[in-house]
Amino acid sequence: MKLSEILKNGIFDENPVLVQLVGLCSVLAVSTSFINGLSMGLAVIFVLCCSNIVVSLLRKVIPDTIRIPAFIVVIATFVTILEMFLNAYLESVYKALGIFLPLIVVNCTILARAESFASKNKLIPSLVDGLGMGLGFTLTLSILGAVRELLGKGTLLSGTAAEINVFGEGFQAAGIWVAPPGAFILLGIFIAVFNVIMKKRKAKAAE
Amino acid sequence: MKETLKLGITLLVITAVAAGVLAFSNSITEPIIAEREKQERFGALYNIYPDAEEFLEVDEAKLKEVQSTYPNITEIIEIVSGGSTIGYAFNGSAGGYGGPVNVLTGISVADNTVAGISIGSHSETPNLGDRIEDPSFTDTYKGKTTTEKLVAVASPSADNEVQLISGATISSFAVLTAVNEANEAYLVYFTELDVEPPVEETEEEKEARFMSELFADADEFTPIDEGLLESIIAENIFVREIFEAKAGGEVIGYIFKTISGGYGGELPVMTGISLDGTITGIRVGANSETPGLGTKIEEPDFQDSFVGKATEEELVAVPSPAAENEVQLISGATVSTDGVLYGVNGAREAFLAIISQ
Repeated sequence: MKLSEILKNGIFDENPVLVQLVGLCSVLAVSTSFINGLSMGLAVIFVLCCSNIVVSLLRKVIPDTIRIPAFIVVIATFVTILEMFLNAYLESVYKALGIFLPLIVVNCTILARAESFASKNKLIPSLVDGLGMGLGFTLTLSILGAVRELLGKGTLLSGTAAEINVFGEGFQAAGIWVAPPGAFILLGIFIAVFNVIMKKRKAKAAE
Repeated sequence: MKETLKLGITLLVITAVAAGVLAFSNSITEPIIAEREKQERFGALYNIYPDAEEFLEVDEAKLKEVQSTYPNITEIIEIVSGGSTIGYAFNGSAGGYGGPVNVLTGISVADNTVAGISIGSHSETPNLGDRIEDPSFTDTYKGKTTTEKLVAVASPSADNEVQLISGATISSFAVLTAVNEANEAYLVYFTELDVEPPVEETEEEKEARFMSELFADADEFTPIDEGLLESIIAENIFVREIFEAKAGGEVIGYIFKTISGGYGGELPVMTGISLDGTITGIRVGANSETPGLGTKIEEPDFQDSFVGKATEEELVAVPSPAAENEVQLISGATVSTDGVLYGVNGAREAFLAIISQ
């Protein structure tokens, strides 16, 4: 498989959120605003790339029978490092992600990539795979966050210097969109739209 | 055997390397995090006491003494300005909706009032429970008295009233609990005022108090005949224990201990019924109902609505009770009200069963 295909695979064909439906717990909880979604996504990209690199490098050293605990240790180490550094240097992000930051350890996306890709492939493809999957996760989470924020709070880019109050001050936003039920509803709509687009593209490619 | 050992050693090496890497990252980040947290804390203190010059941690022995009564208080800071103590700040916590809510309560020594509060780390629901961080909420604590217990209401005005956030009752009460505890600790340990820490009542003491409250004239409470109790329990799913209330050796009524289901789990209720078939009162025991909402079933307003009701008919709860079989329905706590009602009606049926025998 070509590297560009691996990358595309992660973002579209096997998008972790919209196609594989893994790691939904943090997707639903954290995507309350664009900036939260983006920071969670970046955190996942970091952990995914690092764990894919290490797992790929160690794939011949780690015996098959203990691969899962070994992968978990690798993933947990990177998550903890990330947690420490975010707490020290980017505290607002650390606070916004809250409990979902340490929970990246159990995000299925990361273990799944270690298991099904990095442990069977060389360094560079594994890194690209981590990047692709991570980007797929990040893009979905950011867009979902932006839409939820717009509908639920009437703002765009809240939490940043460029915060815009789209509908003006008096706007009464529908709180459901930033609450968990809204996340489920929107995610459903996202998956539906994504499937329609992917189907059309496939039909086109087949022609 | 050899294979197992190899697996173990491989895993050991991996975890050892991981531990090393983590120790290294920790050594870099720990001082920065500690420094930032300290600054955050004192930053909050500066907001409460703009004139403060020095923050002194109260010495270990004193803290230990306070903690023996108020274990939730983690830190006490003395605030000094112009050479004299102007206040004490208490770091404490109380259980909220998503876990403990840390609250810093600043008290001003000059007039024994709350100088201000600051919400520390918590895991309350975003956009709902976390509104406890809004100044519109925390500011309602400013200047409130410490000598009286604060209460949370929808539109606070009196000296001991603070904001209750509608839709975030549990979070609001977590803050309230932490502040009240800080206030009490302050009065008990840092003032000359004659305030004693409240003595915790044991379950038995509480039960005995309840019994004598239900039958003020009684001088003795004895469990009823076991055979009779068993025959009643066989037909009544709520009743657990029955006592005879006696005055001068004569039975004047019965006390029924029932357990029914509330909103948060088991709901023990004690119902007193005098021999002539009127309810002398009810008492709700230790429960897990929602603080400030379901727990209204423990308040006299509710419990007293049962007093004097007849036992012939099944009791029903209505918003404004009038008839012989109507008792108070607490709006917003229907499930808790119903739970109590199940227990009392169970007691009522058990009473009728005793009388008929």
